[in-house]
Amino acid sequence: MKSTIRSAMMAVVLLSLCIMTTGCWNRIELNELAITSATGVDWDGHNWVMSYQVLIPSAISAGIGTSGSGTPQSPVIVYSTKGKSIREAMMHSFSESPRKLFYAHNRVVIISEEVARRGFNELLDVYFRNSGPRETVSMLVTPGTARRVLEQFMQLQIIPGEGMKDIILSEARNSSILPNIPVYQMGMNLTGDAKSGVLPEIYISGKEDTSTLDSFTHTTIPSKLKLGRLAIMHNDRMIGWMNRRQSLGVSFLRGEVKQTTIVTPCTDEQGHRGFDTFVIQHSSTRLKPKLTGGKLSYTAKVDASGVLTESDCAQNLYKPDITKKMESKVAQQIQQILKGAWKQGQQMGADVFGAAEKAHRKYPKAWKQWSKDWNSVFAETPLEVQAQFRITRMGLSNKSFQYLTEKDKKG
Amino acid sequence: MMKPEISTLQTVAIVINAITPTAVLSVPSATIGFASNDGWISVLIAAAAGVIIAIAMAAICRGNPGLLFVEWIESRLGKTAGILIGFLFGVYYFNAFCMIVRQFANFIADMVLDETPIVMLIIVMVAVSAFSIAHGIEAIARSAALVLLMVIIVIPISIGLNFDDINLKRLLPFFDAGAARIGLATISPILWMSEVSILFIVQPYMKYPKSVMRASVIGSVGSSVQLLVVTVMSVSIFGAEVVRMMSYPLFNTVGIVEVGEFLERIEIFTVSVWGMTMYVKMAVFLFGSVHCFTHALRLKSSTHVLFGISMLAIVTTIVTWPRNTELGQFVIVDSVPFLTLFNLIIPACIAIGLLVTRGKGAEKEAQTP
Repeated sequence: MKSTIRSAMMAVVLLSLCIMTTGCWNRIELNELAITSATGVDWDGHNWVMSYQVLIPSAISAGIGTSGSGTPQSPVIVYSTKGKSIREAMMHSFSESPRKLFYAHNRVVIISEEVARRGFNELLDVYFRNSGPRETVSMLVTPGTARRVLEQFMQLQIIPGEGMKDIILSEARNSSILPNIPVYQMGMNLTGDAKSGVLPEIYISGKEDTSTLDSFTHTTIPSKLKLGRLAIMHNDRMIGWMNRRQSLGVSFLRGEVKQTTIVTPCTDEQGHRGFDTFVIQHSSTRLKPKLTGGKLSYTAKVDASGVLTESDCAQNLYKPDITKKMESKVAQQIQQILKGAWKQGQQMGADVFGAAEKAHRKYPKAWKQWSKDWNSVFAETPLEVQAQFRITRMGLSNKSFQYLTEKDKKG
Repeated sequence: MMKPEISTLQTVAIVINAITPTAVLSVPSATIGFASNDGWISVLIAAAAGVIIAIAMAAICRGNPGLLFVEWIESRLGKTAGILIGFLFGVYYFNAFCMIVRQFANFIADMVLDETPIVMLIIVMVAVSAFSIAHGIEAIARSAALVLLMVIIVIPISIGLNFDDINLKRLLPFFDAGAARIGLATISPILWMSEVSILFIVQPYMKYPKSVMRASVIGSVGSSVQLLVVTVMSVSIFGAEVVRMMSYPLFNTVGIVEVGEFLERIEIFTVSVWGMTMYVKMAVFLFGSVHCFTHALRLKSSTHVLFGISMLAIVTTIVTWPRNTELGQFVIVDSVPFLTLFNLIIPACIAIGLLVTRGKGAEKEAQTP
C-alpha cells in the first residue's frame, strides 16, 4: 500500500516537472523573426550604415506577382540603421522593426567600395565573434552604395539575397573569373603571409532601378545585378580593381579554375580570320618558387584540357598539326592571361596569388627576411609560365561549318 | 551488494571521455597560439609523453590488490596519508568538475542558448551528472562506451565533409615556430593527457584489473588521436592565424561545411555528440569527488555526499568566474600548477610511497587467504 502511494506521488511529481521542462526558456517564435537574406554595409563618413534585406514570408509563399485579389506584395523589404559600430547600428533596428533581425539565413554581405577602401576589420570581427551570422556568407563589393544593391529585384529568383549567392556560385563554377569569397576565407587571406585578398564586384547594370514589382510586367527589366571586376585588398583595405581578364589570371594562378572559356584568334588557308572557342573543363596550376643566386622567381605550370565548342575558321580538324596549333594558341593565351595578372598584382603591390605562402613553405629561413617587406620582394619577382593545353574533344562535328561551306564554294 | 564491474573497453571509454571533451576545446587554440602551424608537432610530442604517463599510472594501479582507492592508500601508506590523499583528490576532482561545468555552460551560452541565464545551464548540467552518478559507476561506464562509439562514427564523417577544405600544405613549413615555442605548446596537451590518473578511482571497479595497462595506453592513444585530428584539421582548413582568434576551432571547421544548398549548419550534430562526451566527463569527475570524500571522511551515505557536493558545485561554478574570459585564462594558464600537482606530483609521491612500503604490501597479500 505504502509503495503504491509512493509511486503515485512520484508520478505526480514527474508529471508536474514536465510543465517546467518544455525546453522553452527564451523562446522566439518564427513570426517574431525578421529573416535577413542579405546585408549591406555602407559608411557615411562618421557612422556605419547597415542595410538589411528582410524576407516577407507571406509574400514569398504567395509567389511574386501573383496578386490574387489584392495588389502584388514585395517578397523583401530593405531598411537601414546607423551606428558608431556595426552592432550598435544593428541594435537600432529594434527601434523601427517589429521583428528581431535573424542572420542565420543571410546569404551575402555587400560592402560599398567606400567601406572597402576605409577598411572593414570591424565587420570580420562581428562575424567571427557572434554565433548568429555565419562565416560562410559570401562577401561582395559594390562601387555605389550597398543599400541600392539590396533594393534591386532579380530575374528568376524571388529572394534577391539568395539570387546573388547563386550568381557568384554559378560564376565561380562555370566561368571561374570571379571567386566566391566567404567571410572566413577573407579573414584567412588578410591574415595570411601576403596579407592580401580579393573580393568580387557586384554592380547595377542599367540606369534605372529594378526596385518595384511593376518592372516584372515587361519581358525586360530596366536594370540587372551583375558581377564585374575583382577588388584587390591589402591589409584589410581595398587598393584597386583588376579587370575580368586579370581576374581570370588570378584564378589560374591560385589553381581555382573549375571551368572557363578561352577564345583564340584563328586564320584559315583563305586568310579568313575568326575565333575558336574552347571550354576548359579541367585545369591545375602548380606555382613553384625558385631561388637562384639569392634571387627569387616563380614558375607556374598550367595543365589544362578542354573541348572545342565553336570554330569560325575553315579548318580540317582531322589534321593533327591543326589540332596542335590550336592547342598551342590556347596555351599561349593562358600564358598571357597569367602574366598580365601577375604584372598587375606587382604594380598594385598585392600578392593575391598565394606566392608568399609558397615562398614561406619552401624557404622558411629566407622568408624571415622577405616577410619584413614582402611587397617589395614580390614586386621584383619574375614569373615564368609553362602552359599546356589538350583538346580532349572536338564536339560533335569534326570539321568546322566554315570548312564545309568554303569547300562547296571551291567545288 | 555486489561490487559493480566495468569491462576493459568501458574503462578505455572512460579514460578517453575523461580527457578529450575539454581538451579538444582548449588544445587547438593553446598549441596553435604558441607553435602556430607546428601545433600538431606539439600534440604528437604530448601524445608520446601521454603514453609514458599512462604506462606509469597503470603500473601504479597494478599494485592495487582490488581495494578502493582510499582504502588501498590507507592500507599501504597509513591512515593519515590515506585520509589526506583521499581528501586532496576529492578537492581536485571537485575543482576540476566545477571548471568543466563552467566550460560547458560558457560554450552552450556562446553558441546556442545565449539568452538563457548561465545559472540555469549550470543547474541542469550538475543535476544530470548527479543523476547519472546516483546510478553508479556502471551506468557511467556504459554511457561512456556508447558515447565513444558515436565519437568514432562522427570523426570520419567530419573529416569526409571537410575534405575539400583541408589543405595539408598549410602545415608547412615544419619546425618553423622553433623548438622553444613547440616545447611550450606541449604543456597544455600533456597536462590534459595526465588526466588518465582517473584510473586510480576506476581501476578497482574493473572486471579484469590486470588489463588496466591496456586500457590506460589505448585510452591515452585514443585521446591523442582525437586531439591530433582536431589540431591538424583546424590548421589545414583555416591556417594558423585565423585559428588563434577562434574560441572553438573544432566547431568552426564543421561550421563551414556546405554541401549544395541542402546540407549546411551541421555543426549541431558535432556539438550534440561532443555535448554527450562532456556529460560523461562531468559525471566521471563528480564521481571521483564523491568517491574520495565519502571514503576519506568515512561518510556512510554517498547519496548525501553527492547531494551536498552538487549544491556546492553549482554555487562554486557560478561564483568563481564572474566573467567568461577569466575561465579561459584559468584553463590555459592557472590550471597548469593545479593539474601538475594532482596528476603528476601526487601520483609520483604515491608511487614512491608504494615502492618504499613494498614489503608491507607483499606481506599483507600473503596474509590474505
